[in-house]
Amino acid sequence: MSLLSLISEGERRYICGGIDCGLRSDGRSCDDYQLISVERDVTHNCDGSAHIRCGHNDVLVGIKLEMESVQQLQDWDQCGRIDFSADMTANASPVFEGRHGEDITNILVNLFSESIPQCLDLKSLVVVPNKHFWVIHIDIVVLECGSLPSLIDSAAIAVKSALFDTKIPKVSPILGDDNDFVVSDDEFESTRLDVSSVPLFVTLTRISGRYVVDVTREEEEAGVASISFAINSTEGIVYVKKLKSGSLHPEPIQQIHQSVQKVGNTLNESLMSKLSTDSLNKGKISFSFN
Amino acid sequence: MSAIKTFHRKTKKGSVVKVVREHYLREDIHCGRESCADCQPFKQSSDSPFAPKAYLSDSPRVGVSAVTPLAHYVVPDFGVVYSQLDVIIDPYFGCDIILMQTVWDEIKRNITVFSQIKQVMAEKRFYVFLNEYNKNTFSERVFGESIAEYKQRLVVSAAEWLQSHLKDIQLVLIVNSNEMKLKSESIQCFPIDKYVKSLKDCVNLVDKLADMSTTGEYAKDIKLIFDEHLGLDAIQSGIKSGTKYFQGKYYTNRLNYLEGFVMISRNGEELNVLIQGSLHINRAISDDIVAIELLPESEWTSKSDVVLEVNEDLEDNGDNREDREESVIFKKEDTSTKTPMGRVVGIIRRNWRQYCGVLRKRNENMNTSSMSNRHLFVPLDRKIPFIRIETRQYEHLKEQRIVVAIDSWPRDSKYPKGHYVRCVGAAGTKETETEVILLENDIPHMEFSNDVMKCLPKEGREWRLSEEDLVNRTDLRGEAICSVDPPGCTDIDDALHCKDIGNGLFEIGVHIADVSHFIKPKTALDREAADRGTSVYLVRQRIDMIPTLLSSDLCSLREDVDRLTFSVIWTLDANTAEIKTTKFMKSVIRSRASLTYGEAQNRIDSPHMNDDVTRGLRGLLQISKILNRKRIEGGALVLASANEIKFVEMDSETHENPNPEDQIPEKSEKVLKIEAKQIYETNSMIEEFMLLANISVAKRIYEEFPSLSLLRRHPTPSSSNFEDLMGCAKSKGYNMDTSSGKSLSDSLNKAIDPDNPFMNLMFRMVTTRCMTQALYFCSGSLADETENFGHYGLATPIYTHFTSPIRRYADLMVHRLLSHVIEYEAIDASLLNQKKMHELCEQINFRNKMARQASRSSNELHSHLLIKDHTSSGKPLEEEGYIIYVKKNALQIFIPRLALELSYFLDPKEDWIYNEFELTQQYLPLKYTLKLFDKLKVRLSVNENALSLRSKLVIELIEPFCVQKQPKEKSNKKLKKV
Repeated sequence: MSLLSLISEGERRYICGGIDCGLRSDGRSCDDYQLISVERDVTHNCDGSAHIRCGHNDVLVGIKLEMESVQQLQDWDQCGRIDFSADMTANASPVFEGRHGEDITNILVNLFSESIPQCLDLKSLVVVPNKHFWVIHIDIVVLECGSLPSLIDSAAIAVKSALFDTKIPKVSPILGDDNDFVVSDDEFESTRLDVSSVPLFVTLTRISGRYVVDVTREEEEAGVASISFAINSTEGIVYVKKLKSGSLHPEPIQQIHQSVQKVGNTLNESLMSKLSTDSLNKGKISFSFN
Repeated sequence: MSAIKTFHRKTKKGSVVKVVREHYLREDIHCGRESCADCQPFKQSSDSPFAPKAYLSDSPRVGVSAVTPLAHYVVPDFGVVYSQLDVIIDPYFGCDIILMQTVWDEIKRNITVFSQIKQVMAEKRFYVFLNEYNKNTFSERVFGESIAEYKQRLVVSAAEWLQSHLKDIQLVLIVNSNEMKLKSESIQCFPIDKYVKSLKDCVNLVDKLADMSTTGEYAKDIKLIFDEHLGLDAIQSGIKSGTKYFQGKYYTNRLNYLEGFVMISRNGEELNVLIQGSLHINRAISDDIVAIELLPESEWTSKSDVVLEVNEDLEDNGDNREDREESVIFKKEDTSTKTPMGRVVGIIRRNWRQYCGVLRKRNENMNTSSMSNRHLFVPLDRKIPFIRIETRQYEHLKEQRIVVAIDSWPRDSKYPKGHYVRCVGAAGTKETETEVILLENDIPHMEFSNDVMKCLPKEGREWRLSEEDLVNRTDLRGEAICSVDPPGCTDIDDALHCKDIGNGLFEIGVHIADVSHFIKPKTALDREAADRGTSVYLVRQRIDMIPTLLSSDLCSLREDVDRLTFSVIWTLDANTAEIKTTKFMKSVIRSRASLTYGEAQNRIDSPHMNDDVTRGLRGLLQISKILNRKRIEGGALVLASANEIKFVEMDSETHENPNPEDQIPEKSEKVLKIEAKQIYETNSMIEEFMLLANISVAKRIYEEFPSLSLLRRHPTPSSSNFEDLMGCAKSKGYNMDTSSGKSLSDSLNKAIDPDNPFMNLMFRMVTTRCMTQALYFCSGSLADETENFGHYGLATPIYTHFTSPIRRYADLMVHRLLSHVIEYEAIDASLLNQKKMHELCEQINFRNKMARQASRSSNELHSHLLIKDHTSSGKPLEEEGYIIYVKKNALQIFIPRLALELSYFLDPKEDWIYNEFELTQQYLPLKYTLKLFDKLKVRLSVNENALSLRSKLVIELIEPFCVQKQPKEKSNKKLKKV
């Protein structure tokens, strides 16, 4: 981000001191998230979409499906594909103007494409075996960005919600022809993806001697480095990646292992329960955690 | 306020896109009632296409229905409009019908229903209520609701809202009987049959109700006769694969309704696939576009050799008999000549129209109570199966020609189900039968509309050419021009002149009526002419393409009047007929004489005549003989068809089209007789010059418009087409070389039997039937000019029609093209469109085919009337005929004098022995063998008891021997017929 420091040395020490005592400037504890509100089905042009606001993070995720044909059979591993792309608007902050947001969006795309596809049943995206399959395009638009660690967590929630929202139009193979299909023009005649094992991200930032979730921009400045955990409800931690240049000692990470899983599970559970309670509803409903 | 509609669509490339549409809702949509105080009235203006034509009445439909005697509007749902269209649009069904937009949008998907409704809406008070744009009546679809349920709900909720809005006028929702009952409190809902039956004097309407009792679901205990048709998607992908299914139009064999063929293209090769037996035909009706699958080669057999007729006279008591016969007919025999066989797997597009015919006579002995309203309808078109209809008017309709529409053909029914549409008139009368011929052939025969008549010159018959007309026209009024036509011809569209200009050269001019001067593009007259496409010549009746004022007066090149023409003028070598120069020009002529062929011949032959016209005629004749010889040497065929023998030559000019009315035999209402017509040399003289003009024009317009010329081609018949001819020739010991037009022509010339002068003619007739049809086409729509443009029969590489613009629209188009080419008049830009030109050609080809069929039917009809006259006068007609086909169970006999072809059934079968190699039938009791092309004498009479036209004729063989029949045999199954 900016070369100019956002906080002064005094502020940094204040934050660190508070964190050491388990206190944060907005009154949260170290493993507390800010208010999260998610809205599904926000753009009609997409097959699935979600809009999340969490603190200063504002992320829109749109999912489009595309039918693709198998080009070379020997290269194809009998399943569908997921494509990620992310975009940082200059509205989020003037520093993102031009291509300056790319380092952040690249991090998002890398994190998600390395962790999410393996947790989805991509075989279910095959329409006609050896012929046609669905490609899921996930477009992430960052409208506002608080801090990178919290942005990752928010974006992951938005992606999961949007995947949950995705309606795959019903395609039926043509009787007597194994190679072709018809698509139903009935908008209600659709299937949904099984998103139960799609991971959410919990990104911890080491500030002073502790690990903190959902950091604000000031807290991020005060931190040393961050580490991102992808956690799903069935397997626990499926993916870990360290962010930023500061060095972290492995021992404390082993110690927080338990608590990170707990945070991730809570997040997963509350998101899924909220989502599934209105899963039959086409209307736009917002909800939040905590 | 707005809502969003989304749906997925598959593009042609195979990708899936989501379509999102915004849907705006309004509050200012009028309910349709004329005096409604709450609604903002529309501006009722004629120029706005969106404003309704009329409001609904304030006191609608009072007392018309017994179930709802009070004022009410009728709201039909989609199923009713779609399946009961004939009822809804019937004038007797009345006005004040509200069509919901939901229903209306569905209607738009079916173009035939839509256009009919549109037509009726111009006359009747229909109101389309835009319920889906009305804020009060629209609602979004809820989860779990099928599209059909949703649409039904929209219609019902709109009706409920309208009901509360209208208050004192009842809304009556009309549904198909088998649909679910509605749970609405405020509106009334009736099944259509109940409502129609409640109307006063409803008998006529009730008959028009389509039978909707079968919906594709079959009870388990019902015996299904036919296989299920595949869905459209399965068919399409099967066709795409290129080997599984093939698409084509199904044609029923005219002589055998249990057999038909589909022309498909497999690997770029045209293949005629035989479909045999009702199970393989699987409910396809002639002209349907079907998908077929080829049977394995081991099951291929040869074309059946029988003529098959169903007894049309009596209601059959059991269906088993036919099934058994079917297997007999198609039992495997000789397998030397195998034709590809297939079976229909699905219907891509039905081409059902309305059919004329009669009700099958009811067997009086049968128990009539059980099925008193069910009748079998016998279509006149033998290619169409019988249709099961319900009517309560049997007593009234039994002697009438009626029109029936097909509704459906369920799998468990032997016959398609249909309903009565209207009555044409009493069977057997000339007027009714002629009307039926016109209807069956889809020939527009109404009077010309006022819009069309307004396009004619105001002066009417007093029209004279003005100075303006002479601008840019060559004045040829000084030339010795004359016309030669059949006697009594009133639409003279060609005239000629010839003069010796020294140096061994002749100047020869062909002058064609300049119809394009009177018919300008984009006028109502032009549209009407394009729609009609051709004049239709029936016996003693002509249905004009353009109004009589033009056809018989202003455009007709009569003698001693100035007429506008389009001329082709050549200079030719007097000895070799080689063309030195060709000129095209718009001109003015004054014909010196309108001659008949006979008169022209007399002038030429008379030593005393030596005027300009006569000398011209002699020159023309001299050149035409050279041209004719050159043409025959070039491989042109001299063919013959049934009609040409009767009236000598149907089209004396180009051998292609029906003749002008004067060649029609003298058949008056009372005394029918047939006059043979003489052929003169002058007939072929005119023909040669018309051909020459057509070819010259074709070359010229093609030079200028390589992709937009309207040309005429006659495709080379494939060798399989000639199989019949080869068979015939072989049995008579001749060899037909069909490898090229030239060799065929030579073979035909050699096939002469001194003992049977008719034999050569017979061969030519058979050859004619092997030919493909000549067609108009747009030069840009065919790729390969050298392969495709040729005219096989005339043996010329390029050909068009230029010489009869009065009776053929194609010629008119060619005139316009040529006017542009000679820079007389720029062609209207809208005509220079390859797609439009192509469509026009298709249209003209269709009309032409229909016109030909109508002429043939008209001849047949009058022959029947003639035979009937003879029968009733107690002197049955005895005619000489020739066997032109020998079938397994029948002889096809051609009667030259009547130009009539008859099937003589060999009955009882046991008495006859068929030899398919020599094409003979031996009559056992007398040990007499009948051979192909043998001369016979038959006695023709009319069986007054039979209902249908085609089963009326009774043929008895009287020479060379008499065949005695037991009357019992006749009533059994097969009947002698035409």
